[in-house]
Order: sequence, then structure tokens, then C-alpha cells
Amino acid sequence: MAINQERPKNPFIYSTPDQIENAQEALNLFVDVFKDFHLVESPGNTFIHGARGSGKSMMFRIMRPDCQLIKQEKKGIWDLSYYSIYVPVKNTSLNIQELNILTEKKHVVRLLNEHLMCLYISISIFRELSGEDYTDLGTDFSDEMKSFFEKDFKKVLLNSGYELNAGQEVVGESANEVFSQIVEVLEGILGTFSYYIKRLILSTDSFNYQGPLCLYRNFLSPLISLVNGFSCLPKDCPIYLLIDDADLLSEVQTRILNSWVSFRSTSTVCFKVTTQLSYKTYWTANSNNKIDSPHDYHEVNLSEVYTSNMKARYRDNLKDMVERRLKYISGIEASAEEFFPANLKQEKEYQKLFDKLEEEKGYDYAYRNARLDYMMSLTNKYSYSYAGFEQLVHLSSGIIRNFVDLAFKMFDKATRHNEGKGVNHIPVKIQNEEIRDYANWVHLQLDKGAVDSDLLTPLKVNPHAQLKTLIDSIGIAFRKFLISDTSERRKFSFYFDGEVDEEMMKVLKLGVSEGLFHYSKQGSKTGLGRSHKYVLNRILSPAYDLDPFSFTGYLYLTPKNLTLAVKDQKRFLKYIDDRIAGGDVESEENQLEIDF
Amino acid sequence: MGETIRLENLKDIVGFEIDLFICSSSFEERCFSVPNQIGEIGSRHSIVFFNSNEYAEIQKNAEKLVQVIGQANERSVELVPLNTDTQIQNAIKINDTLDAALDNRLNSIVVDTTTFTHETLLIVIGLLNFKRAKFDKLSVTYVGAEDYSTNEKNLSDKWLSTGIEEVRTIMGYPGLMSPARPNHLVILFGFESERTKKLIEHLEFDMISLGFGKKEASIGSNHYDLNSERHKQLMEVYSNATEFELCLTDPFKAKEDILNHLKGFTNSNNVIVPMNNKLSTIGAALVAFENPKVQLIYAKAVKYNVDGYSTPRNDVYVYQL
Repeated sequence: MAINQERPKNPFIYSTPDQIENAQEALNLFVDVFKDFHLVESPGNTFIHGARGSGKSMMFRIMRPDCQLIKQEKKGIWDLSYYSIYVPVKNTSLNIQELNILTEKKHVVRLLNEHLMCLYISISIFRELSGEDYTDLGTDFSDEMKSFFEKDFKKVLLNSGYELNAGQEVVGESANEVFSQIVEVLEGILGTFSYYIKRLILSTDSFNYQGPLCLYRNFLSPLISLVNGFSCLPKDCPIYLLIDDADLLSEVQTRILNSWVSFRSTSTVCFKVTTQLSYKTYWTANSNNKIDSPHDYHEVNLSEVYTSNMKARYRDNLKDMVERRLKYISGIEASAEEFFPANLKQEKEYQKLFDKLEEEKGYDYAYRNARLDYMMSLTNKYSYSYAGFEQLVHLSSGIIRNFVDLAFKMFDKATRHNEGKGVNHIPVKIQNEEIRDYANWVHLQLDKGAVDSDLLTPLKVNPHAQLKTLIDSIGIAFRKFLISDTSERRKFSFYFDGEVDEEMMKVLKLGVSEGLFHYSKQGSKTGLGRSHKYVLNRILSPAYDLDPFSFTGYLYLTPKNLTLAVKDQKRFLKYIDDRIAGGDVESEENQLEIDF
Repeated sequence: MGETIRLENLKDIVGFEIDLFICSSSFEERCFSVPNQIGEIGSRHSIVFFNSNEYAEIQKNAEKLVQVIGQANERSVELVPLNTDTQIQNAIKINDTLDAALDNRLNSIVVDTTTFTHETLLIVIGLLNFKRAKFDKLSVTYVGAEDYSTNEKNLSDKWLSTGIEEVRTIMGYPGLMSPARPNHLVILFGFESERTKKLIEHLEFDMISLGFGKKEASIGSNHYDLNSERHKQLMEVYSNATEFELCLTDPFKAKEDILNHLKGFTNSNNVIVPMNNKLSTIGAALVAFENPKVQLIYAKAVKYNVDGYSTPRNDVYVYQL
């Protein structure tokens, strides 16, 4: 293991993918997951679902032209197999409150939102183009773009009701300057629109917008077709619009995007859309149609990586990512296993028990029970050591950023303990402490939010308090299964069919947004429809004395049971006890009626 | 332009010619500090906003405020319920209420900013700015807290609110967000480091600026100490963030401090999230009035520390906007 003796840069420092300006740097850190998710790069509309930190934005970072030029070893963007435009959606960029104020005038609301979205995307397109290198294309290309500005661009604007002033002739000499000028023009329209919507609140009963309307049909679609014909872009392939974090669009905007997807104009433009598993709707803007997979789009779910047969791939990808970060950021040559060593004494004892159980009852039994039995054999539960790369893989719950966050803190602590000098591994003690501290901190934060005043009378249910109770109920239930003699003792997720009420849904959503649950859908056990699955963040393992390696079992609950877990923990746990005593059989007969 | 005075001397500053008084009820005792004085001074018309969906005590206090404000005379006091979950409807209701109150041109309006939520205060101030032609004089008052999070003894345990339920733009401050420019988040930081971290992680902006209170321009030295300690912790975590200082006792100085800082970010989408006191929040509004490209946003808390949120001071800041 090579070690950098200078105070090293923390290899687990987190930057959002779009903050990584240098393409080579992004590629150095990127683990090629496209081999697992080839649909993302293939022509066609694709929705990429994944919890926060599961690597969606990093995929988009690598799909951007600067990275693709290096990856595909091409000299110019015209030689690439596709050209993509990154369109980040932030809470505050498109979902502007004023746009929803004219609730009575749905058609107007739709037009205003579509106008904003089309402007936003078109600015993204020309911003990207303005930064490319066209040196090899010579002056012919500059002339081509000047001509585009004077004829086509002006015409598209005119079709949207915007006429450039006589003085607004093309001023740039190079193509880059022309593209920058287009960005300025479009920003000008955006600025005027912003001025208008700011005043909407003053007269909600009258609609007096007189400005241009840049809609998909009359503006964005023809503009993309024209751009597609530029000689600087790859021939005969669609432009990819990488819409990142589309959950943050308002519902109206989501419907508009769905309408565009439903046009299936994939020979010209493909929508690559990431969501954080809470995409608002699949209905289109005219409300009579829904977009469907695979007709309108393909789906990729990164969150299923941990629970599907790709979990081994997740571990390998994480190992690759750790080793790349160690090498490229901090100059440390070490394997992930060397850098995050396990507690050798513990692993030796565990292995001994594993071997014994394997000999007596076979591999499957040993695989399922050896670690649980080892944990239960400890007289002091705090003596169990949460350390080692393998254990960290599981604790990260399939979310790369969970791993990176924890590893950052561990490295920071290890460096301080080492008086600022380089480190070549994270001591077991520090790994264990950081994991336990983090689990305790998560619990403490929940407690803070859950405390209701004795002095005041809340008028609405505190969702934090309900979430705290739910997590406690579920965590204790998992522990009960763990110490039981049922056939499936290892559980870390629960799922249900059907719908829960609005109050319960709010609690579950809060759990997801706080990173305590990861949500995904899976096929229903009835074979009809889909089930809602919630995986408890494994970082909470120490809080409930759970084995983070557990990933095989799901706890099926009905919506009624789930409500019980929030509203009457005692009865819920009694139900779990009865279910365990009955051999962990879920049936309608042992459902409890809730009477609140 | 502005000063801090003993509460009982408020009448000397705002005079006896108040046409419209606006305040917000709260679970905090501080919501009565200025209205108690207004009760004596008298206002031709008053509007008491309150959030009707949070705690029963907020409505009870709103009803008490009606009594307190109207005690010395038979002035009209209007109670206007709002709902923290429906900000658009709130904005429409506030606009309608103000339009009705400003039917005739007024001389003097006083807004007690003390216990408004940041979002509602900014909507009220923004709408009044639009309706500037309908009145002559707008004064704002603010009663600072003697102590915060009074139920926590240790400095490190003090908290005001927890979690982020939703991040949303504030009506009246949409700004100009162009995808051609980097996103710059400007946090006017108070004591809430955990919420600030969540906000930063949630928004994932390209650049972050953390604005901290100046020592000589904080409401009290204990506030400064707490602010300063948490400021250092935050800067350790976000070493790439830019820090700047701002005045917490004067909205005009706060505005200048923020504008000076933004000079270094002229090519960015500047988004301000006011998380400190109401005077600096008004400072942020003044920045957006001067530079409409600046956007203001609100991070709605999941839960407030209602048991020990604050205790009031005996003095009041008064500024004329």
C-alpha cells in the first residue's frame, strides 16, 4: 500500500457531478455503470429512477459531450455517437409559485409553464453549444451559424410572437459568439416573462399577458430540428435532452414533459429523465392520456440494484469507485478492503461459527444465520464492530452517496487522529464509532422533530412524530424477527399492496425525503399490480441491533398493519409477536381492525 | 432612519396617526410586545394574520390580539386566517386584504414583523412595495429575542426548528433563473446549522455563500456567540463556501452588505434564503426590490421548538421603509 505522507485531500469529498468541471476528473471518478444500464445511452426516451445519491447525475455528467469526447476518443463533437444537452431542474428554477396562481384558468397555467420550460431548455441547448470547440470546422461553420441566426432563429422567434429589434443583428464573428448571442436573446425573453409573472399576484382575475409564447410545437420542436441539422453535430442521430431531477417540476410541468415524451419524436430528440422516485404523474397535459413503458419510454431503476440480482455488481462498482477516489484524489494506492479493514478477531470468530453451521446444517443455513447467531452470542451488544468494507457496502443501502458521506467523516477523523499526516487505512475503531455516532445522530434528529409541546395544542398531526414511531415499530419488529426462530429472520424492508391514506403517505414520503427509507415498486405478490416497497436505511442497524448484511427478507404488511405501526405501536408489536409465533404467516385472518 | 427604543416609547416614534397596523399572531409571547403598545396608541384599522392550521394557541392569541389592539378605542381589527400549507391562497388573501385596507390612500402603515413567518412577511412587504402609491409612510417594527431555545441549557443543544418539509420560491420574488448561469445560494444564517446543511444538500447549487451576523450588529452578544460557533462548524463542512458578514439590526445596512457581497457574483443566478431575524429578512427583500433577478426562497420547517422558542426583549427596532 502506498501512502501519501502529506496531509492528504479527503478522497471522499463530495461534489455534485455538475460541479466537476474537468471532464477527465469526472471520468477518473466514474465507475462505468452503462454496461448494466445500456438503455440510458441508447436512442429512445428513458426514465432513470433512483434515490438521492444513487449515481443518476453522475451518469448524466459522463454523457455530456466533454466526457464523451474523451471516452469515445473523438476529436470533435460531430464524431460522437450522440450529442446531449444537460438540463438540471432545481427546486427554484422552473417550479415558480407565481405560475400556479391562476388556478381557475388551467389552459393559461399550462401555456405559461410550457413557455418557461421551452425557454429554459432552449437556453440550455445554446449554452452547451456556445462552449464547444469548432476550430476544425473553420469559417464555413461560423457563416452557417450567422445564417441560422439571421434566417431560421428569427423566424422561429417570430412564430412565437417575438420579433427581434432592427438593431439586434448578429454581432458575433465565431459560431461560439453567435450561440452566446442567442442565449442573451432568450434570457431577455425570460427576463421580460419574469417581470410579468412577478405581478400576477396583483390581478389574479384578469389575464393580460401580451408577450411571446414559446411553446413546444411552434418553438422548441422546430428549434431542435434545426439544431439537429447543424453540420457540427453527429449525423442522423437525435439530440439527447438530459432532464435531471424531474421530480422537482410542478405537476403541470410534469404533465407537459410527459406530453413531449408521448410525441415519440425520438428520431430528432430523446428525453432522458431522472427522478428521485417521486415523479408526480405520468398523465399528459390533456389529461386523457398517460405515457406508458415501453411504448413511450424505457425505465431503469437504480434503486433496485441492491435488492435484485445486481447487488454483487453494486459491491464491485463501489469497490471500483473507492479505489479510484483513493488513487486519483489522494494518491493512495490501496484496495477498498485494505483501506476499510474489518475487525479481524470478530471475523475470525464469525467464520468459525459459519463453518460449524455449514457443516451441521448446510451452506444456506449458515449464510442466513451465522452472523445473526454471532451477534446474539455477544453479551455486550456494543462489542459488535460495525467495520470492514463489506459491512460498509451493506450499510450504504445501495446509495453510493451514503457510503461517500460516511467514508468522508471516517477519513477526516482518522487524519485528525494521525495529527494531520497521511493515512493508509481507517482503523476499525474509527469506522465503528462513526457508524454508531451517525445512527445515534439520525435518531436524535428524529426525536427533536417528534417532541410535541405539553403547553400547546397542535391542530395537525406531527408527521415527524409519526415517522419516529413508524421507524421504531419497524426497527423493533425487524429485531424481533432477527431473534426469532422463523425461517426468514433477516428483514430490512417492508412492502404493501394497495393504497394508504393521505396522512400515512405523508409520513412515508417524509421518511424517504429524510433518507431513512428508500422507496421502490415491485411486482405484487398477488400478481396483480405493483407493491410499494420501503427499505430501512441500514445505517440505523446499530440503533436496533440489526445485522446490516440482511437483505433477503421483506416484511409484507397490509395498509391497516402499517397504520397500526404508526398509531398504536403496542398493538402492532403484539401483532408481530403473534405472527412470529404463528410461523410468520401473513393472512387476512390475523389482520387487526383499527379503531381510533 | 431607524433605531432601537424601549417598547413603551414606541409612540414617540410612530406617532398617533397610524392608519393601518399589521401583525401576525404566534405561539410566542413576543407577538404581543408591539400590539400592546398599539393598543394604547390606537390605529384606525388593524389586520391580524394568523396561521389557522398549526396550533390552537395561535388562533387564541390572534383573538387576544384583537382585544389588545382594540382595547383603548373602537377601532376596527380584522382577523385573517392563513394556512401554512397553501401559500398561493395565502398570497391571494393577503393581496385582497391589503387592497381592501388601501381602498383610500393612507398616511401611515406600521407592520410589526416580529412573529410573521419569513415567507408571509416577505409576501406582505412585497405586496406593500407594489402598492407604494397608495400610502405615504411605511414603518416596520421588530422585537428581538432575549433568549432562544430557552428549554435547552447548553449552547450546543439549542434549536429553533428542525427538518425541511419543502423548499419553495416566495411569491413576489421569482428572480431570473437562467440555465446558462451557475446557481449561487446565499444563506442568511441564524442558528440552524442542521437545517442549513439539509438545505445545501437538498438544493445542490454550484456556489454557496453563508452570511453571518456582525458582532457589532447582532441583537445580543449571546446570539452572536451561538451564531459564531455554528458558523465555524458550517465553514468546516463547506470549506468551498464563501462567507460574508451582514448587519442583523438594520435592514438597510443588511441590504448593503448583501448587495456588496453579490457584486462578486454578477453572472450567477443569485438565490437568497433568509434564515436569520426579520430585520435581515427585510434586508433581503430590499435587495430583491433593487435587483429583480435575485430570487428569494423559503425552507419550510417540519417542526418548531414551540416549548422554548424565545423570550422577548424590552426594546423594539423601528425603521421606515
